[in-house]
Amino acid sequence: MTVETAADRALLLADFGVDAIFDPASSSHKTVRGVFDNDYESVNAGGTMDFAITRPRFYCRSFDVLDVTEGDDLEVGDVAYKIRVIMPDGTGMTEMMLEKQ
Amino acid sequence: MSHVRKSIRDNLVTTITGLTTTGSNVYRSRVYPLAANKLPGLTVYTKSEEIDYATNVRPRTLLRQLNVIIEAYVQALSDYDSQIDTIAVEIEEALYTDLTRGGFAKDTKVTAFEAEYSGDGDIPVASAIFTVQVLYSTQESDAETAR
Repeated sequence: MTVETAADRALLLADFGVDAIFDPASSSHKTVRGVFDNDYESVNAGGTMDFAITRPRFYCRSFDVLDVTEGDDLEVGDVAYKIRVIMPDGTGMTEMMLEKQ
Repeated sequence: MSHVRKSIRDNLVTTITGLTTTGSNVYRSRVYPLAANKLPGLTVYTKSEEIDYATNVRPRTLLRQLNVIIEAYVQALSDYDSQIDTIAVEIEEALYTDLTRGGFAKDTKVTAFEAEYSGDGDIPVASAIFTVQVLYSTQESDAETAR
């Protein structure tokens, strides 16, 4: 059960979020506010060495991205990404794993 | 002078440096994570060695089977599997140019290959692990001279 409302989430994202431009295949462009993370992390791909690479993620209200599907385009700060995995958390927020284009 | 194993490792690093795809991005026994600006790249490790005593009279002759791991790393939006195979061609053909590793070894064999893929980062990454067996021999009284 969630304790905050959609309006509460919008307030939170207004303070800490950035605008991203979505280009869903099923509808026209739209701007959605969310939190963009792109930290460097070590990722193991099977070898002895890890990769030190960025892991771009976008968190936003699930309500704002109901029509978004994997493979759609997303632009944050003039950088183009493709949405690879959509992960709604079941409490009204959705995390998206992005691939830099 | 140094251990023959070091001479063989040096030879391998030299042999796979300057290949078409990976160029000078060759890292010997690297312990720190690789960043995107070092890819496509190769790492070289001499990880293990099996030693047999071939004679009974001291100083005895040691037959050594050195297991060298060469790892290839690439990052690409697509065809990363093909890039790995391109690198495989370049590595295997480069190794074949001198199977004696500059005269330090009796033989060199690529005995295993394994590829892994990950989509965790901003761009997919792929790695390939080549196991290379290098056979060489020394005397137990002198590990710096190949026999």
